[in-house]
Amino acid sequence: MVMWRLKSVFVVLLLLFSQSLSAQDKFINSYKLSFFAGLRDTKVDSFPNTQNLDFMNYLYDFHSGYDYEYIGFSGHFQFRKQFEADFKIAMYDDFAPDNLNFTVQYFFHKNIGANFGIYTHTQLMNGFNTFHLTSDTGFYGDLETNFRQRKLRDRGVQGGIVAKKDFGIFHPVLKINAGFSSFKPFSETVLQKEIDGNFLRRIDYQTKNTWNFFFFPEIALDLDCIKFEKSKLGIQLHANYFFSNKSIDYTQTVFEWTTENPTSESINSPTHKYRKFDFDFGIYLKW
Amino acid sequence: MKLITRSAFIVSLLFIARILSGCFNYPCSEEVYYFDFTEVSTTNLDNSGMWPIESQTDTMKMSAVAFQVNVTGDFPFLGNANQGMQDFGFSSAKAFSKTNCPMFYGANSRIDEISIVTLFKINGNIPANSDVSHLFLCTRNTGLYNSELYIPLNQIYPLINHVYEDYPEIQFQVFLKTKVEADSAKFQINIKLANNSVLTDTTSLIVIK
Repeated sequence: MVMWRLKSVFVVLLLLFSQSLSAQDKFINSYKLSFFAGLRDTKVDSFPNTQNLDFMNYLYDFHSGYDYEYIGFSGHFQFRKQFEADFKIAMYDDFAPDNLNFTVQYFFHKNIGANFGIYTHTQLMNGFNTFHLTSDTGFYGDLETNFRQRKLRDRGVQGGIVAKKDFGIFHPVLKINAGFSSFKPFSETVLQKEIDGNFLRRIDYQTKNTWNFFFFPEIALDLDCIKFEKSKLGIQLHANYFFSNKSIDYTQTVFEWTTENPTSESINSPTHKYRKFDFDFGIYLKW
Repeated sequence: MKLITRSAFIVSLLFIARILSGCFNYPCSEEVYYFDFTEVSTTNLDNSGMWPIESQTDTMKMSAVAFQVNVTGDFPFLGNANQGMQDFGFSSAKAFSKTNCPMFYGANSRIDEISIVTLFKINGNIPANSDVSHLFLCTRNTGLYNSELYIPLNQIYPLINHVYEDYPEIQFQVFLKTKVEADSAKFQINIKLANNSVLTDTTSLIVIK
């Protein structure tokens, strides 16, 4: 599925980059391609354990300093005078290009426009089985002894306003976005065994789409440094702040001894403050 | 001298051709060798920890009574019989030689029923010489895989009545659901085959801790 999406993105990019086609020349007025490296810091509220597992308690949040380094490339295209489009592909140290942003702007005024887009970002969830290891006394809380780490995929749709202004070689852009996002559903299984006993219990978790409102302002600063005959080379700074109250609701199914007669329960998890700050720096070529 | 050089060259070519042919993936024989089950044996398991392991003692926890059951047949040593030279040349040099292929064994008489009888009282409701098959659950082979749970004893037959690879043997583990409230326990395991013969083994005398 991810590969199919990536292929779709590349097909779109290929079409956009096909300058040799005269029709495309008329359609797209300017291009900007950039390479960047950045840091991402996430902050997630952690709540005390309750009767039920709360996956949000286990989102990776390294409390002192940033959580992820990333690199990537992005593009910006201006077409049909009033429209602009941005794409951004970033990857963490696993080099999986799975942090994607795609937005389209419509400028109804020279400097002000409307922004619409979609994104998918990844977020690590570490050691959720700690809940069972500490809560379920009398049991080996998780027979899976390998470290439990999962990459969650946060997906969202967004809209907002965008403001831009050209000051000669300096080009600031401000976007104020808001929208709805949800972590892509996933499943986890925990197998438990009674200490000094034969009793086995399996807990299956199947999470649901839980759409939450988010606020997402962005600022981008471009500075043209070297001017060539038909292009410009410059540096860019980009920062954004993501703020949301998120939760991960799920269905919990418990099997005891055998797979016969399981009990299922729908669990609504509490919402946590989920904040994410990105800062990246890069170089660009504009023509 | 010239003759020796030419002969060595030709032999070298043959060697190389043989090595290359050794890289081919020869299909394995799927022939099934039939045998009769002749013996059932039980081994104590220590299931007090995370995973059941073979136990060298005759003590078990009251909630962790478990055994491994092996049902075996005559081993016909067909693997060695199959390893004879089957073509000209250096057959043992084959990278995917037929000697790496598994041997397949099928039982002449499948297992029709497994029953377990307690020879001692388990608690006030389960006296000695009761059939306690329904109180035992089992796992195939030696352990739990991929978050598998137990299966009831009467559902194991499709999993064990098939063609076996490498050895004419079935292994499964049985786990008692009920706490043993007595000081000791002993069970008789009966394996009834399709030809109406019954193979029986008795566990050792288990001291309950």
